[in-house]
Amino acid sequence: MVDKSSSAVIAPTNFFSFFESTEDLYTRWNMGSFIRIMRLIAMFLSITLTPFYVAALTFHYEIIPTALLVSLGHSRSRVPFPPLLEALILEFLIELIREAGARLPTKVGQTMGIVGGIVIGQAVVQAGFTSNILIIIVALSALASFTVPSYLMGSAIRIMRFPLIIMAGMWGFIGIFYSYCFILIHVIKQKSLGRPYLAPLYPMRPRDFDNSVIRIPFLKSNYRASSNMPKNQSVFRSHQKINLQILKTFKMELKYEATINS
Amino acid sequence: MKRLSIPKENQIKASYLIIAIHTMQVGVGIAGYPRLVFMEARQDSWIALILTGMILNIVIACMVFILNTYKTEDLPGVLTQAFGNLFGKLFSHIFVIYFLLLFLSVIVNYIEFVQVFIFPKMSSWFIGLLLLTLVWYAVSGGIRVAVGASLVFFLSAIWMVGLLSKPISMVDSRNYFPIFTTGWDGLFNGVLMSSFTFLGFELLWMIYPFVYDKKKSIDIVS
Repeated sequence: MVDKSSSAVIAPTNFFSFFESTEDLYTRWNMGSFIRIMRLIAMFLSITLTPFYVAALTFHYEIIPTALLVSLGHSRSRVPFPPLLEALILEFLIELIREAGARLPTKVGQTMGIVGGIVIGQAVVQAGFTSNILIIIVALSALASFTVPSYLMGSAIRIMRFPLIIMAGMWGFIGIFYSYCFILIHVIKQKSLGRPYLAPLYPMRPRDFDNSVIRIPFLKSNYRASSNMPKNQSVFRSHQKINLQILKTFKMELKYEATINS
Repeated sequence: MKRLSIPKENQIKASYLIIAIHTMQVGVGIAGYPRLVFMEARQDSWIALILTGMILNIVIACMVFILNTYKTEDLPGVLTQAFGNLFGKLFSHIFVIYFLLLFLSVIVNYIEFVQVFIFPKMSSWFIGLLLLTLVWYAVSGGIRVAVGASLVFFLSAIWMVGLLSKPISMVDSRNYFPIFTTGWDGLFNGVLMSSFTFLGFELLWMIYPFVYDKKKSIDIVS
């Protein structure tokens, strides 16, 4: 909390805390785990899908199945640009539409979204500017980058897609893997206020997987994350057996248990 | 004699040793090595592998014993304490050259792999440069980043073990016979070939002072 500013900064964080949102805690644990894992997969998809298209079309035709190759060739036959340029133009277009739509009042913004998304997309394909498979891919990756609950993480993912597209256009799959490894090593190196950034994954603490990657039922999650070095690591759960001594000192917990059991 | 004192933030757990050494050993060389071993010791290659395992077990036991006797020392420290300043420095220079050659062979293996399978005309220096910048970036973060990177890459490549299911389904045990008919020199050539692949464990000399629960390390490394 900074004086005279309306937002607060929470530190230290780790990478997986950007993928948590509060409604994961309200739904059941399996639903919450599934949604969180889906967000992680959406992040990987969002970064990798367009560069994959660019690299496969520019350098490695062989991995595309034959039926898809026929329709790809048919839609790309009218496009004057190489796949790298085509992908860069479309990504830039989507960023433009999104940024312009953010500043408009609500009703106009919705119309802009529909006009921009559907009409311009259709028109661009029919004019022979890009292929329609690329429209699907770019729209999918833009969508996937919005599943992340934190806006900052989403915009970081969107920005990170551009160097990956350029590397894919220049050096194919090697470029994608190189930049992927570079990003991974950078994330491993990061420290937030001295705590490792990729906390339950790299200094491998299986006990801390609870609130980071998947969710565990409330009855079993009794420990605070040890990467924050808490003073008291166990969270007192009142469903556990209370003996008489604690009963006298912690009367509040008894009330809490009564409300759970009712 | 200088004793190494390593601050707490540079220390790693013993269970990461298994990942780090596994990463050193399993590189791009495993794609080709079954064929190399087969060319030497035809159908007795499994005997060559078992022999290699036993020999390497003995070598690693010697290494860990030596490292445990000199507490908190790595290879140059052990050599200077055993042989005196001059010869210790000389021998550790030899080991430096050895590690350099190992690194070079790994890079050359990677370049060859890329040039054969992916981009035949990509220039060698460029692939080497890409690999080198990655390695520099990982190592410049200290040993924790390097071991963490090897852990993350190990986890993301573990699915490849499932690719072995197709060759395993084609195993025909009649191919093992006639048994024990390859001569001793074929067998020892096979041991040579396979020990070249298992050669990553020299990392243990350098990493041992960084490990902070040393009791478990001997079960882990073997």
